[in-house]
Amino acid sequence: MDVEALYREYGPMVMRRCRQLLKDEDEALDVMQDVFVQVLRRGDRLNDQYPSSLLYRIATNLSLNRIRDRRRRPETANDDLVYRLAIFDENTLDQLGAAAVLEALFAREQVSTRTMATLHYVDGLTLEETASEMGMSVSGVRKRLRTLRAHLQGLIDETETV
Amino acid sequence: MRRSTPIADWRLERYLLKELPQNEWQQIEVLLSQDEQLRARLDALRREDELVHERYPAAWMARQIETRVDASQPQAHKKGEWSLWWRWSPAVAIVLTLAALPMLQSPDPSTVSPAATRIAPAATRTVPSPRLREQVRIKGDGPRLLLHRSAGTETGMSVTGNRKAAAGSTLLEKGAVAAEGDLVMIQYDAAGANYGLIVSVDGSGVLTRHYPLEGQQAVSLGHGVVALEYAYELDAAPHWECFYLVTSDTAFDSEPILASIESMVIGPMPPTTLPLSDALQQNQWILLKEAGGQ
Repeated sequence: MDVEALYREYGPMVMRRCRQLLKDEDEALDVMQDVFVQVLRRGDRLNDQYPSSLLYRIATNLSLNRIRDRRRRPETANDDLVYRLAIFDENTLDQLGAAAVLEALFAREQVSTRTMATLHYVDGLTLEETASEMGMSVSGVRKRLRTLRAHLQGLIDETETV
Repeated sequence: MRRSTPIADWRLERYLLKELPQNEWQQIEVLLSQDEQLRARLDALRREDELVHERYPAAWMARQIETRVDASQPQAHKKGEWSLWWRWSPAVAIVLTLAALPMLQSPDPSTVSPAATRIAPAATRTVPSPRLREQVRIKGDGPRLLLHRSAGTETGMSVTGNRKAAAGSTLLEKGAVAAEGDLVMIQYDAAGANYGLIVSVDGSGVLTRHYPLEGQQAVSLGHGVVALEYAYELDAAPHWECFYLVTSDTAFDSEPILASIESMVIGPMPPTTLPLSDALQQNQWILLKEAGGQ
């Protein structure tokens, strides 16, 4: 795989996504490189018709991981939503003691719930658009987001009304 | 972060990448013809694309990513750093060759110092792209630095700090990637300026004076392309090494310039040009460092 050509084509989009979520140039630069590292390791997956979708999802997921690892809360409500999504599959589930139940639900790709929630609640994609990006049915996305929303203790509903 | 129009940023990204299904593509085309705000968003994305490529050149970024991939693989799969660089960036060989063309054509051979003549790299004539032609044109417009990577480390000569320039060097293009231990030979073309100084600052914020090596005043510059007597060995400082050639028609104090560099906020991104008075000209040259040098 020609990483230089890949970066030339998709680098700015990935960098933008990382910046958008991380709000830190240095961290975004670091995570962007990790995105391409991950893509190189699983190069066969890029044979999709639209490689940008995979890159965008990986950028979202790795950025959420970085936010989770910061272990500090953001100052604004919208960033707080991203933060809550970022820590969802770890702290929140542990605190609620619901990990065992959700582990089965998210067995295929546990992190995808965070990513789809970010696409829908943060980026503003419709349920249909989110389902299309995630390769899932609309009802499947709706079910997962409903579960997620319940565990985020109303934060998403509050943010939506802002 | 919420979208203010019916088209989410992500859809616009995919439109820009030409990775939308045909029906969605057409839908956005129609909206673009009607929605000025949407066109502005698209233009902003295009400008940002250019900025990202300017700040983080593809060749350098590819090397950074390759280094990370390489570092995560078993030792047996690793190869020589420079051989990997060339394997993944064949276009860089073309760029370096094209960058060497002005060395063959100008300045007047009678004005080139013996040292510069000795290390001028061979080049094969190739038709440059419009962008490269622009780079070549700009280079001849004023005082400039020329950096070469010395082949000294490949000939088995021992290296301890600065050392004399050697033959068999490679002219570097701006944004080139180098590693700890590489020898960099510095040339300047004053383009008629009488006085100047050459300094560099690295990604750790350490300032190095190259010419003159000491003193508080800029020094008289030679004519044509002049090679400094000593080469510079890169250390393990991360991210980049940024060289400055500051020139003037009249003598000037070097201290304010050194102070300006020392007061820079150092980070992973290379610094910008120096805030200098109108009487001074500057030529900035950024050498990017491999990711391993951190």
